[in-house]
Amino acid sequence: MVRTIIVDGQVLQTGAKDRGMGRYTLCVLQALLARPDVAMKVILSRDLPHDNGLLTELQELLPGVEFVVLGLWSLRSRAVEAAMAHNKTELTQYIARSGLEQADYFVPSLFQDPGVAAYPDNVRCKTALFHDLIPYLYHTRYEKFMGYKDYLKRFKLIFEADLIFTNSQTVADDLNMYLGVPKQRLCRVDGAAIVFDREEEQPKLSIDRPFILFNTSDDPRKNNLRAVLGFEEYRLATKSDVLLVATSQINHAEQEKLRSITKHIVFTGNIPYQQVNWLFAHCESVLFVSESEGLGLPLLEAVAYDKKVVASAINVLREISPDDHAFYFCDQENTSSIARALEQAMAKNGSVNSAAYAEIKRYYTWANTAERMMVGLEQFQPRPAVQKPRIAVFVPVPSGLSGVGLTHAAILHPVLADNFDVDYYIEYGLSGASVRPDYLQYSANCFPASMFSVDRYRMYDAVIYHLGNGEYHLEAVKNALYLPGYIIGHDTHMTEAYRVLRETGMMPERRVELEAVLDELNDTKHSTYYTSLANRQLGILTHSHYAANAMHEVLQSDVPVVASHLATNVPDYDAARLEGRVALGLAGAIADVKGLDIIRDIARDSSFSECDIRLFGYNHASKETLDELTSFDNVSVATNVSDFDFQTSMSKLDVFVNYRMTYKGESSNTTLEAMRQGVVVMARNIGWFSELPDDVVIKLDGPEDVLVRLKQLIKHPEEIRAIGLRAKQYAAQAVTYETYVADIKRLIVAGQQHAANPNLAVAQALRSGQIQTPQQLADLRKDTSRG
Amino acid sequence: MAEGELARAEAELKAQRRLRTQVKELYHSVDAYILGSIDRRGYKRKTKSVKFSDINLSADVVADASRLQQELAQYDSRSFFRLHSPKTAMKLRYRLASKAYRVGRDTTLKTALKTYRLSKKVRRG
Repeated sequence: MVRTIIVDGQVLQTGAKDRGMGRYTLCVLQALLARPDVAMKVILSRDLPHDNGLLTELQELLPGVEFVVLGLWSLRSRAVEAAMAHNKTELTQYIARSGLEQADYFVPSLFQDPGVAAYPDNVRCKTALFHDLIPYLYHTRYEKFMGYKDYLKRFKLIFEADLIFTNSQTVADDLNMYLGVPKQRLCRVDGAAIVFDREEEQPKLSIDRPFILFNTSDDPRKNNLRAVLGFEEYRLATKSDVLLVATSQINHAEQEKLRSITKHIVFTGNIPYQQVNWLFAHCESVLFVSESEGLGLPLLEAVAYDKKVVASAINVLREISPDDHAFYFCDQENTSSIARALEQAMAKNGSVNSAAYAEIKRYYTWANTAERMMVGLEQFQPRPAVQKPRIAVFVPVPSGLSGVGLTHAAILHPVLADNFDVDYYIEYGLSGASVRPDYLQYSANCFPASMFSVDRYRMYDAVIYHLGNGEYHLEAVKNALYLPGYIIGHDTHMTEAYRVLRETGMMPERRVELEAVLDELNDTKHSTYYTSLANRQLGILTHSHYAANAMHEVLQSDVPVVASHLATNVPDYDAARLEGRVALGLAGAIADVKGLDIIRDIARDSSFSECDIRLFGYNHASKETLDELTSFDNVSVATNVSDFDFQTSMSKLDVFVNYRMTYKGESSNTTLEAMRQGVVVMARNIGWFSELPDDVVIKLDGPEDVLVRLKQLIKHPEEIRAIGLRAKQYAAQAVTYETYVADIKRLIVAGQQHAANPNLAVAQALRSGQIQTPQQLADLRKDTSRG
Repeated sequence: MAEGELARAEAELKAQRRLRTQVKELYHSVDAYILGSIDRRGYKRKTKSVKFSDINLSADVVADASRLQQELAQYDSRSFFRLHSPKTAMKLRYRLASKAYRVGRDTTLKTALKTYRLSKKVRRG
């Protein structure tokens, strides 16, 4: 069967055509065209260059393709939202006019300015090629010098796509872990070296000595400074007379700075591919120590030329190398490590691993990429067209300090939106802190939580309140107290939330006091300030049986309670641990209650002098405490790290110590994040932690056990690996977002059918419009409690 | 090179970013400033101070968990009930200014002025 693929060709109308992304696109399209089962049409924009010269060039590169120029808008003349909406209509009309409803629509570049991609509504499968998530993951570096809002606004397309092709497993994992895109919508297709032909031309540069090819640019992630420092360290240590040839455009200021570190550097600027071919063919080795990449094309090009490569030991580059044996890997953050790797590669006995290179050449071909894409398209199953229940969800803002906002609003959104028509009611907290970009506001319906009312309540089939013990849940508490919905409890103690409600004047002091009186009267042992909240709902979802029991302890109404597993997304790429010292860590909130004393004891104990002790996360400890900790040689502290740095640091740990001195009925997302990376977790045997299977975490009954068990563990690395492997398997199988959302659905169905629950009558009366005044609601409450 | 020197060198390098980057940064910060100012000034910010009624409960009620819960449920219903959402839409003249600015930014000043005049006409009816 011949499959028709309609391609958004706007990237070929921009300057990116002759750079990595454009050339990658052309190679993919050529490989698809080489297949007998593909017919292709390429859509171009009238708003971007489409002169005869370009069309002729494209027709030569993509013979047999029909090019269609439509009146698509671009950022040259319109704002991104307007252009996206217009282009969608334009494309939908074109598809309808041409009778192409059974075709697949492919966007090779979602973010390339000034083109604006959009999906028509009436095609079989909406697909995209995703190159990397780097500007999002390194947002502190990128948000200042790119149109960051426009970048985030285009995330809508990621969630609209039915199938996303990624150029590496790492990129697929990033989409899954950081944005929550379900794995069944991701298809790894990889890529290959871009070598149009082997024609060579020597660049007119003063290259008079053997040289190392430094594939780079002035992009913030390219790690130029450390690379050049590492090169100079290598050159001085070995007294080698070699040159460093840096490719691509690098701004003048950066060139000057790099020249001040070494005089033995040449900058090529942008040069034709024939000259790049010459550089690859004649270099001694290739230096590629970027901090992050989507695929790492220069590595594949170096392999095509059988050149040795010094590469950073990041997942995306390691996944190219079978068993880590193909390249000379280094720690890209350590200049001495770069120098050492260069020394090994440039040594006379340093050679290319022919077997590994042959395997890479066999796997990474454009024909294979096209084949993987076609298999993905063949296996694609359209999402079932079902009537989705409409729900309102109270959540903390995803960019804020609350982890609930990140995991239960942003990351949960794709799976939740598959099952429900969702509107989010956002709480911004009092501090207004922003620690990550918020793309959800552009990808879903978001309203301030303070907008919620009885009128709005009527619009929904269900209202979900995420309740945590802090400033990000105040409106949720207030509304949950009079509008029956479904609580998702993140803590069983609400003392802090009620304190803030009182101090901000959102709740009178006497009301808060009476909630405490209720706790006393009920003699609650596992929760505080939960009695009123729990008893006025249609259903309660908890993350542990411990928390479910705490709810049953305060429940006098017949409210259904479901204990679900806290969910996480698990990366598929399984990076082997690199050799080195055992790394022990404490992550998340760095605070005394999270076990800082234990970390102090570990640092003082000489048994751990050969271990690295790492603390990272948001700091709640005093400066004195941090100073004391950092005074130990083997302790490092990184505070206020980005999500990406946090996850990367977590993946490098062997053991994560998460012994909580006080426990408030919470579950721990950080624990799951460690488990999904195969890190051994040591936790207190209490509540949610005690319910995890015994063989996937190490449970401890007292703080004194931590040191004893750690000492045993560091002597048996095979035990660390075995527990880590089981932890990762557990996280992958038992705690997925799909099962979590299925539990929410189950709870809503149970809540709507539970006639014995008096709150159901209140909810029905509110929805039917019978309740128009506060007194009517109060009277109804009185009646239902009597009944 | 020591870590301190490396950090200093990085800081210098950042400070010497190329002109185009600096211009882009300036453009986006001015853009954010203008839109932010319009947003900030345009929203009606009359926040009514919330007055809660007193909770007068007898000692009997306060000593009985079940009755206290019922009373609190009624109190909460009366105190937190809100039938309609508060209106937080931007004032009209700020909305027009914001639109005109965005049109001007994304197209031409001429189109922006035309939009502004048209919208004023519409407003007059």
